[in-house]
Amino acid sequence: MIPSSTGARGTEVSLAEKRQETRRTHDGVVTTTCALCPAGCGMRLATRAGGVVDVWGEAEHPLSKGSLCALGSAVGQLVSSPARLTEPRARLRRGEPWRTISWDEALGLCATRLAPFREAGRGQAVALAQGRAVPLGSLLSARRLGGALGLGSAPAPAPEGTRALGALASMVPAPDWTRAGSILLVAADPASSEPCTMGWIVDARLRGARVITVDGRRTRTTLKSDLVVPARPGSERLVLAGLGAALVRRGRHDEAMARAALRDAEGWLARCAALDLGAVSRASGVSETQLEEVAAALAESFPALVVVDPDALGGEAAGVLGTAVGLLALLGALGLPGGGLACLGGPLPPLDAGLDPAREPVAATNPPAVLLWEASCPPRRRDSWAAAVAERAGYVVALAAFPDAVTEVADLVLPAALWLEHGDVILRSTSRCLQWHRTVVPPPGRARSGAWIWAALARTMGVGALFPWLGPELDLDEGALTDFFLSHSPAVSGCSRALLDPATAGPGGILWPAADGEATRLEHGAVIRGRWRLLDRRAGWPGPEEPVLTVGFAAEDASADLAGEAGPRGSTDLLEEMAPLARMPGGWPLVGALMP
Amino acid sequence: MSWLFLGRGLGAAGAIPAGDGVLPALAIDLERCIGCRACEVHCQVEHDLPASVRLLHVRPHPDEPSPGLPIFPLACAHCAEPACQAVCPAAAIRRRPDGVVLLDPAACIGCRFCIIACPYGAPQWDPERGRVIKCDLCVDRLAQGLWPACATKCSMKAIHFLDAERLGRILAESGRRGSGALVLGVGAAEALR
Repeated sequence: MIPSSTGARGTEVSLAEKRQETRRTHDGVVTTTCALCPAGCGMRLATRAGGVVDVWGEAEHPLSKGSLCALGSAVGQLVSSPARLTEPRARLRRGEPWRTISWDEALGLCATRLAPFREAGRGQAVALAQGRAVPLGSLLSARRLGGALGLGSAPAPAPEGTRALGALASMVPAPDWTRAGSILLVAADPASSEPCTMGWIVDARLRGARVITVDGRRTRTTLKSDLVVPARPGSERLVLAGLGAALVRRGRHDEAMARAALRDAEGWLARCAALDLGAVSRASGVSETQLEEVAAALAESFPALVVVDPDALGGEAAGVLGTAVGLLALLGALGLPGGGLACLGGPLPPLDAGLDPAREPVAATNPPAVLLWEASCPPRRRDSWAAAVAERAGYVVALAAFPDAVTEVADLVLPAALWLEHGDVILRSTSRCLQWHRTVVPPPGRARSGAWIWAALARTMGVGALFPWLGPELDLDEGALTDFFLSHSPAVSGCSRALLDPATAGPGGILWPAADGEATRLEHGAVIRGRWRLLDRRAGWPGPEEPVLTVGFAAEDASADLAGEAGPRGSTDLLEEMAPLARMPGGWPLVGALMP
Repeated sequence: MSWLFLGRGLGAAGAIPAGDGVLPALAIDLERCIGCRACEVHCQVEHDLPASVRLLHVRPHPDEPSPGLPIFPLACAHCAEPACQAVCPAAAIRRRPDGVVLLDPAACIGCRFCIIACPYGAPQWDPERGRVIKCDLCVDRLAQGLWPACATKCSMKAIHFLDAERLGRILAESGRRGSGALVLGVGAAEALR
């Protein structure tokens, strides 16, 4: 027998098959959800003595079909990283050495710092801020605490337009992308940002869909595209409008859908007809011929799907999303199986912390006297804005699992658990899917979940009654916490921990909007009717003739001036663009788009 | 569809040598591969390797402009006449009767001649153990009836472990379509240049 350099001793090749399983000594195997990117893949982990010894994809998961990317496969290193923050620690001032302290002392320190700001009118000097990818329990616990104490909040300057809009609740989940005739990716590079979502695009392409990329960068996704439109960064919206103009000019647009779906169809059609393709070409660097070519390809390969990455677009995101809806209406591709709009990272469902609306946190002053910062779990590069706020804040409390730019300047560091170390609901999902992640291994040292830290701080501050899920022994009932918040948010009110937990409900999650009532009212007048159902590959997708969920606007809402209702969370600009959907007739059949 | 076949002494023209044809080989569907490097990580996890040692390495396609984006997983081709074996002064590299080329760590003297000789960059220097290490096609997994780790866990389902029949079918199809199947084996260094 010849030994192998990797230490293998196998002697003969038998009939081999593709089967994912572990060959390592382990105590148990746990099924959970990966929270490293918005793809939301199912993962199985073999554990031993409180550590992860092996990881592989969950074959039955409807979003990932057994796939797991390089990041997900390396979670063992993340969990056992020697860089982890494991003990609460404080220092007298920046630059001084750290002192490891107990949780009691840490929460007491925090409470002492916050106490002066509980007086009326002073709360705005405290900024409660969180990373983009914190789970539901953490997100709403912090919002609840902030509201109860009258503290200010500092929302991330992320593309706010991607949340809370009824129209975005109809975005196409990734498994439906395979039914698209053409896929237009706008500044989106899923092959790098969420590889397992790219799998659906590769599948669609091998089934004959044309993949077209509007991106000034050369990316792994452009390598898998049939057509690449190298638009200058910042000109994506103009290029989409140019494509609409090319369609209108050739008379290839679907005027009926445009008039049915768009609020200001006349204005949009007139703008498209008047748009000078030469000017678009000069501003974007894309030739007129190529614009015509792409418009023709989109019209021919029906239906079209537009995938947008708001993170890559930054402040342009809202405008691009709105223009994409206009283009899709011209293509007649809204609300069809495989056709419509998709958004990498997904929109957040409208959420409610269960407080009196008058007590929702108000905008914090900048710079704040005290910054309470919870980093994403795991850390995200997009959260780097918080470091700039922390630099100028008087006193910084950081909840984090790893050292970062905020913990560098923090005065008090509270060690946070990673998503594999506690149970909670993942909110950010390209497929608009709510999923539960379970406790796989215990947190290292004295690290605790964000939801626990906020609840324990509330008790220290004397408002513990608002957090009844924290027991007398400081044990957190994750199920009670999750069910409370889910039941208070209309778009997700049909969900519960039991329906989300892969241990009880099987791999997968629930597409939001989810409601078991007759109709659910979203912000800005959108109404959802129908019933939710589990996203389950084994059960098969319902056909277009089987209505599952409809998103639309009731006739009585159609006359409402939605743009005038732009709340503090919405972008007026986006509403102007997206409100066209408000004219959709009641029960507009977005069924296929929602549930392929 | 373009495929990359790794293994078992496949001829440069795609002919499967007699006697070896019954054994499976790694076949990489380059239409599906997006260069996510999951295969590299799965290989490292399977063999407990440090991050610097890649028995399977995702590189830029030879047709890519330089600098190219890495979307081309390349591992040991398990050549019929391995160049690494020919130059090894310690006779540490041997080819098993079933075609798997293995390196005996006890016999390796760390001269690294094989690293220089291999046209695919398959043998890697392992600084922790102070010797050379190379892809063994996960022979332990194969003995248990499992595919190699990279093929089992490829996130794009682009890596397959195919038997002679399916391999021959794909080769014939690729040849007919002239779509640029790249076959690695003896003499395949030509194809890579």
